[in-house]
Amino acid sequence: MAAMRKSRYVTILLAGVATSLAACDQHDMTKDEGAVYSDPAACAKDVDAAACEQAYVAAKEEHTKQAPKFTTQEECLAAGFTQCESTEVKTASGASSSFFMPMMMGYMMGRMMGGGMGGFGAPNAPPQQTSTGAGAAGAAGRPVYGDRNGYLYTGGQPVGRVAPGTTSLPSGTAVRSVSRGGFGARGMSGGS
Amino acid sequence: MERVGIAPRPDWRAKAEALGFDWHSAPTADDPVGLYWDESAYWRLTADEVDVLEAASMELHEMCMAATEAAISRRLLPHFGFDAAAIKLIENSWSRRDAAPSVYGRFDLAYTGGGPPKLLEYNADTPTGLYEASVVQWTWLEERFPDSDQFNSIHEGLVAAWTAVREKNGGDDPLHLTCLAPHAEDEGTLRYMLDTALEAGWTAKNISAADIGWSAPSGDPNAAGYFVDVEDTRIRKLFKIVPWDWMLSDAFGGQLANAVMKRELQVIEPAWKMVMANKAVLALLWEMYPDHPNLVPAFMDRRAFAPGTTVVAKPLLGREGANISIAVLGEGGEPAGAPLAHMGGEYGAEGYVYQTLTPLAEAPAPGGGTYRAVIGSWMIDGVSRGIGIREDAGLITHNRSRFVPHLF
Repeated sequence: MAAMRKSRYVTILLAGVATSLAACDQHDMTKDEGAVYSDPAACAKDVDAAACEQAYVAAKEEHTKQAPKFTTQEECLAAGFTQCESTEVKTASGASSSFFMPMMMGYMMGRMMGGGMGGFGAPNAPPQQTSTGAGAAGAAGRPVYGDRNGYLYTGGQPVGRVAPGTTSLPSGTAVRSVSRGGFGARGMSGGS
Repeated sequence: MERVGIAPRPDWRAKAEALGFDWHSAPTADDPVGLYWDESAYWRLTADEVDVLEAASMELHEMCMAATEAAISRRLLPHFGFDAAAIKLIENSWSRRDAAPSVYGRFDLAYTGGGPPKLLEYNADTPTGLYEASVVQWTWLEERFPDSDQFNSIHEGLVAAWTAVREKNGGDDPLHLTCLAPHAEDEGTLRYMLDTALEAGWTAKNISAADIGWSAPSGDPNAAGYFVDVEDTRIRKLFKIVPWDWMLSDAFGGQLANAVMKRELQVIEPAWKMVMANKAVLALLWEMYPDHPNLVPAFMDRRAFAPGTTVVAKPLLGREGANISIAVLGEGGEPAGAPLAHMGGEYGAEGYVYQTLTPLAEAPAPGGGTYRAVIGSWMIDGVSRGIGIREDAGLITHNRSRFVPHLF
């Protein structure tokens, strides 16, 4: 029996792969307090459908009123948004003019958000032309925009991430927030 | 069992590092060499001794399984220091243990060759020293003693175990492997485990425990959440070299227990291994199998020992020799005089088990003194697969005790 104890083969893939497990550079998503959805149907899988609809309407309204507007598509994209669309804005005199604004990729369902979040837009967006500043107090839905790297923002704050280059969220998508650092409180060897 | 001195290979460090074995030394201020891999000697066993170790390990495994069943059915787990949540998780895991398989564990045995091997403890949850036993001492044998044999089919065992888990539970899920980083030994052990899982056909990757993410659609930590890796890929199978009791007390502990109970996450080693990894099982084993040749008398209450007995106190959740002390007991279980040996550490608040001191294999140290050896006996998927020997000049084997190869 003893003669069978020899290891007949050992493959070694380990040489030269002594890479560290230390954390990669990551965006800190732990500040996120709400969930991002593509549409009310996606939201309704997690929370009450009526609240989802209400928040969606509020987000659309905020988007129309407060999204940054640019005179050209190029300027809008240069501000960091992943996709922009043209829109007609009626002035007080009744004339209409054409602007470009970021597409709303989804909306954020969350706690009531009042002031203090700043204007909408990607972090490197220029000062907004039409924004009144803080989001409407009491609105339970906020429009969400994406940048070319897949980061999602509302009010200039990162709220999630999708694949880089994503220009729109398929219907039914819930963008999930990720928190890290919940394991490994003891910084010592776990082996024995 | 005999210790044989031998000149180390002059280039052993380079050879060790070429294998990815970058924790062969652990220098400190007190010990600037910090030798961990020590090939200035080897232990020579006989084929009969190997048979004895193998048979004892198989029997101890069966006994530990029976003790786990008894600890649960007799509702003894509170005495192990587990809280209600951990007990619920353990019971759940044990009740469907066919779907929650174990890959590996390591018995620490006292064995002199003169009598039967004795169980010192079972590192059933997060054993390390694996790569050293499986690969490093094997390559040493092939180079130095190609005509000798070694009690070592650990590698084949691991590949077979990972294959079995994949075929039974894997589906198309990837396997994630995690440990605390930075830590050279644990990371090295994790790389080796990754290697064996890849060989068994898994899609697998390593992740630092601190990088594991909890992905949830809302601020509610328990609402439809799951664990993800750094690329936000969902984690469904997780091998860990982080003790269960640490993970459960971490911030994500509640989510972890929930995910496992809901079968959304399979963790290896499974939660039921917490029972036999806990030193209280030593007292239960002695109660269930009194005077068994492979056991040492062990009790939760040190008054059970006759005055004059030399007793080892072990914290229930202790690791790597930490907080172990050795003393001669007087009347009423009180130590008579100062401890013979004592290790510092962070354990002990959870309680202790007490075990009679049992002799280890000894050999004179070249510079005077005595070396004592503990046999680490590897159980892979319930099969005895090989050994690794740790040696120390002190009475207590600990995380810096040297690894010495063996042959027969």
